[in-house]
Amino acid sequence: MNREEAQALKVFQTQLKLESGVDFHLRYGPLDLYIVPEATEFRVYWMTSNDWMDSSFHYQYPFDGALPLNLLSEKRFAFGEKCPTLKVAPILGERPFVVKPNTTFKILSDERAKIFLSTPMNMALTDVDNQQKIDEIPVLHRVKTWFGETPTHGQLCFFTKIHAALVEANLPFRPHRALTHLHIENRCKEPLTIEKLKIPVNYLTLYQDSRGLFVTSSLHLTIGSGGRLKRLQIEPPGPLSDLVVVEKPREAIPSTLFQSTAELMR
Amino acid sequence: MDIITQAVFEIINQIPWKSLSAGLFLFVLGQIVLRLIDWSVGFIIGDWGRQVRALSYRRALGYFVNFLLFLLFLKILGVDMKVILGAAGFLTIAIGFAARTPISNLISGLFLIFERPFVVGNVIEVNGVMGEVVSRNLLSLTIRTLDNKMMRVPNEVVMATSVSNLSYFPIRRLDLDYLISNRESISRVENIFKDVASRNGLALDEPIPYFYVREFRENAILITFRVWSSSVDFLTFQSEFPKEIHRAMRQAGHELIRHSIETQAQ
Repeated sequence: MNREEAQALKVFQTQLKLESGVDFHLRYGPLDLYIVPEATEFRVYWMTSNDWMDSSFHYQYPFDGALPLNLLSEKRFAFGEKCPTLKVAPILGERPFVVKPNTTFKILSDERAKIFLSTPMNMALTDVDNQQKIDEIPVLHRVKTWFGETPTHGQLCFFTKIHAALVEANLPFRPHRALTHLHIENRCKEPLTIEKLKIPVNYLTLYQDSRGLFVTSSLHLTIGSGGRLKRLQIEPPGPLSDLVVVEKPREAIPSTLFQSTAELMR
Repeated sequence: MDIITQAVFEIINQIPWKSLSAGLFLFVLGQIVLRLIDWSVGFIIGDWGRQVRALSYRRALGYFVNFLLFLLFLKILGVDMKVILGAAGFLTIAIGFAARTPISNLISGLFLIFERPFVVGNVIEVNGVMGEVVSRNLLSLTIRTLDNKMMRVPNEVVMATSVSNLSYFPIRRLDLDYLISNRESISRVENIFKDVASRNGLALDEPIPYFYVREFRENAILITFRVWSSSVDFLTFQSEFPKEIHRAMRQAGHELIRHSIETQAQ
């Protein structure tokens, strides 16, 4: 799948009405997801190839192929008589992501930069009838990392290595990753070096734009003298009329989310 | 028959009904006052109060108020209080001797409330015992050991010995010491160790795993490898990672002579 074909991702806005004996299969990047409804339960099978460059996207309902059961992980969900209606849609990760650009870059003094970053998502299964999240499956196995100045001060995050692009078209398109626009204004006298960035995805809203792409709330950072974090704003990535809210933030933003630049970048 | 009935009536007539009714009324009133005090204290001191209540201040307050009510009740019945108070003096001395340890535990418990070296749910190591803190009160601490035994540790012991809180920080370090033959290539061994760490899903990529030579011996080289994992995953990591190192070294044709494991609760 490429960026121009992303309209197909709008299928995630629809609901999946399960019927006993009718299977569902979704290939979403490296994730293979199967939902197998039976008379009183439905089973969810999945596996991930962990190929982070995999840009596949297709689904089949009803699915008529054979399940490679020996390769799949399984979960079972029991219900009464009526098969539930599910929503199968991506969701942002439950921890912040530390993204490490392939090459360290610098933002010159008194300059602004807009950086495009992407983070892998999870696949969430929601029971539409009672608006309850049933399960979440990461599209990729996540690697944990510590983001902090010392082993005692910091935060446990997920880690992903990316190509941080300054032009959106230069960012390789992956349907299973959400795009974050990061605006940095460097009001410091020295250039600002960026080796790693922490994207607090657990505080961001996930949107789907008119092109079908998954985008998060954008972050606006102003770095003051001495590298001090002067301002941090979290805003929708564009006009709300062009966006569909897929998932609200997991956590409410505290009054002081970040107090220093070191908590967000290195 | 008449004699028996007459005797029963005489006995009933001798019972001081007025005093008993007054005593009962006093008891009910006392219980209401006790509830009101408990509610008011909880309301005034809020969250902190909830913790204090969990540490059974309520029980102590109950004993005290009920003791006062009992004395009042005796007074209403016309019992000579001098005798009671005289007996109480002797009783106090006897209890004082018997209650030295509980009082010491009680005072230690109060200090532990303010110091808060751990909370319920933390995994701690105290007096050579490692386990999860299940509950704590003014006298003791209850730990569920890793082999599923319930253990009561008096607060006095907790105060007197050093306590390691293994859940305090979100990440922990595993230190592995190995002796390798001095014919081995140190850089090759280092690469194997780092490669195993990078492939292990529970090892953190940062803080960066650290390999160093500690000592050159006559026939062997003592090396240390330090690698971090999240505290939540640590027990699994501690068990699996050395096995992966051993497997990788054997596959590469290297031999490990001996190793020891140390863990840092940081």
